[in-house]
Amino acid sequence: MIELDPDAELLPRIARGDQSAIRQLVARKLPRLLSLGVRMLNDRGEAEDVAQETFMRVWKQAGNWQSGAAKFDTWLHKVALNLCYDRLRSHKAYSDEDGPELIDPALIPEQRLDRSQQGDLINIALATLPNRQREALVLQYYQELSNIEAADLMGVSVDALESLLSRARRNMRTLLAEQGVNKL
Amino acid sequence: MNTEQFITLTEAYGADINRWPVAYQKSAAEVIAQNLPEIKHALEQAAIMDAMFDSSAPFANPSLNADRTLFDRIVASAPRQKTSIWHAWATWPWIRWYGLAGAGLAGAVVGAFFVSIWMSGMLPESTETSGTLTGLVAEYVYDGQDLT
Repeated sequence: MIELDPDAELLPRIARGDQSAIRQLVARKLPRLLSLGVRMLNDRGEAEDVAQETFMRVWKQAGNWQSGAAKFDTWLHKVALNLCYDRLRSHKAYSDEDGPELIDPALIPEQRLDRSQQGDLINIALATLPNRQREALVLQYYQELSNIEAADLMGVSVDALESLLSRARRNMRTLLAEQGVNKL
Repeated sequence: MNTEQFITLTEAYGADINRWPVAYQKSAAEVIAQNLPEIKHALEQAAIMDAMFDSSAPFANPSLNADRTLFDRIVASAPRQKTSIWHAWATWPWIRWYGLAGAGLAGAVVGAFFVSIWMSGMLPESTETSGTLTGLVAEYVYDGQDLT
């Protein structure tokens, strides 16, 4: 059975400048893009910039979109992720799988920890994960992409994705235990 | 799916098998139904992590917290509707009147231009004729002078 892409019908209308389709797509995708950006970059302002740039690419691509090749949402995530990685590299904070597994918790600003609620601690722990582990967790758990979509986006096999997810969860558990967040 | 595979997948996808890949869900449910202590332990551990992950929300309600200004800015950056002159002609009556007035004015300007060209073309011819006459007169005068 062919899976219909719910976003595909909006794209030709967007290319013609149909304001209703434009608003519909932005309303549908902006929260997801912001969520992805905030979790990947741990910075709301930068997440907004990434969301804006992503939509600029959408406007350019809308008239050339070919249904059937890839789901629009997957393509959108790919664009946004690439923009996130551009920013992470430019911050020189990029660390891949060869880098250290965990960043020293002492590097996390102390005043932030003092006033943080548990959700903030989770976000901080997430931000300290190696990028690929964070990406796997964000795509699979928070963005609710299928394992195949997430693996495809990351350019890895499903087995490799599952390995990244397991390591991400283990590291999160260790990091949170160090912060005294053992259970709810 | 055996117990070891189940635990491995729990470590990757969490305790809620509805969030697992669809292909695993049926056999995962069968493993859970066995009620083994190691399975229960793995699920409990994963459930704690899931609850922690769920407590991290960048916005309490993403759809409401997507900043309105940002929304408007992004919408404004989108391509505008392409409006043809004929569509505008049919849609907005005032464009017809302004169009007619504009066309009339343009016609008058073009007409005036050609008239001025024509006139400027006539003037040199007229001057030349006058010059010729002047020459003839001069010749006549000259001849007259000879006669005298």
